[in-house]
Amino acid sequence: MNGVDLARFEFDYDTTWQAFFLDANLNVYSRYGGRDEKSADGRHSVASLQHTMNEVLVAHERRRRPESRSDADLQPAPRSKTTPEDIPLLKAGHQGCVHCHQIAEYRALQSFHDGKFSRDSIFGFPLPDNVGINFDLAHGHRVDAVVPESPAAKGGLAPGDVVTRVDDVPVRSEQDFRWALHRVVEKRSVVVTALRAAGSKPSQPVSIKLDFHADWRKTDLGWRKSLRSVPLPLGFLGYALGREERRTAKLPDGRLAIKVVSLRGGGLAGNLGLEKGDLIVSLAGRSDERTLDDFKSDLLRRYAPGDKVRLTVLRDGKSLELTGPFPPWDTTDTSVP
Amino acid sequence: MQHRLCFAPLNGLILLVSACVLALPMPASAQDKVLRWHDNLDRAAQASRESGKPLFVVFRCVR
Repeated sequence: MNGVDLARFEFDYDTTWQAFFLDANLNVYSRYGGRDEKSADGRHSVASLQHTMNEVLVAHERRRRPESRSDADLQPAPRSKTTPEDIPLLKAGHQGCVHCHQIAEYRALQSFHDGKFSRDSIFGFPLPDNVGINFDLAHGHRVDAVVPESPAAKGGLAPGDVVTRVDDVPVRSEQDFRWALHRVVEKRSVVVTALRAAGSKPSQPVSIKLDFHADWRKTDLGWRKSLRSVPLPLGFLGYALGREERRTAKLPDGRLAIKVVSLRGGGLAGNLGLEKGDLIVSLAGRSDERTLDDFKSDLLRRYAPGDKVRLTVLRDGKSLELTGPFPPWDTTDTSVP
Repeated sequence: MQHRLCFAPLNGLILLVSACVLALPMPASAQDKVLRWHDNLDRAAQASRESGKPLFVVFRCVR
């Protein structure tokens, strides 16, 4: 990623594959890619990529004709160029190739050291599921289902609607939709334009307002490599028990079991009074099995500094409930591996 | 995804691939032998300008 214009080629840098469609002046027509916590390519399909390609070719042809040329076919242009080397910590401490995920990691570290780290910044590229939309995997941006009582349902979006725009962003793929949501920082709503089937007549455009709920951006972070650079001072080293150790500890499969191997002083462990050897078996009453990264992800989804954290641990065979404040953001890291 | 990129629309695009990690050589698939991929954005943009075709730019992590 060395030297790449991150403002123009903005994508979810924790992912391993991303495509862009542009004109010769590097104006962006569409983005294709993105993933979720389940798999790296579960949201891609040959059919949906072909849909996006065909829609881009139609838009490109339209823009080549003076009578139909419109910037509305293009995604909003970045204000200015920015490269990985513009991140001071990266420039000072990184050598060799810059991996995609390192962009996200250095940005998190830089914002912490600049005193600007915000929890919202780590929940990038919200899933359409977050606003109650499931897109048809074979199409990409046609609504397959709408979750009852969700922002999409309350706004009036319906199965079969083809989303073509979110505010000023033309949508030709699910990733376009996610990028449009990603850009929403302060606002609590967006206007979605969709084409709706009208019987034997041509589809008609409809405008729908999506009002977001408070935690609408929050998604699972456990799969993200950049999670390791989030300035969350756990205050302990640990791991999720394997099957053999579970049997020894008489814990059933499927139950949360994070073993505290050592304490690092302070942090969440210090605030809660965790001890070496403790087994964390529940977080805020939730006890389903998770990896340590998924556990960290859950902490970040639920709590901000100062919030009261509640853990259940097994210590010397006894169950204990520990409570204490979520610690302030902190890290001594200034570079990433 | 590389082996799946066999679409009619690809004929209407200028193709650019950028590896996020360049430490390892990228394996050439049979598809790569059919499609001509650029590895320089400026040259791909110039080809796009000359041909009138849009650009298809891919970032991929090569481990």
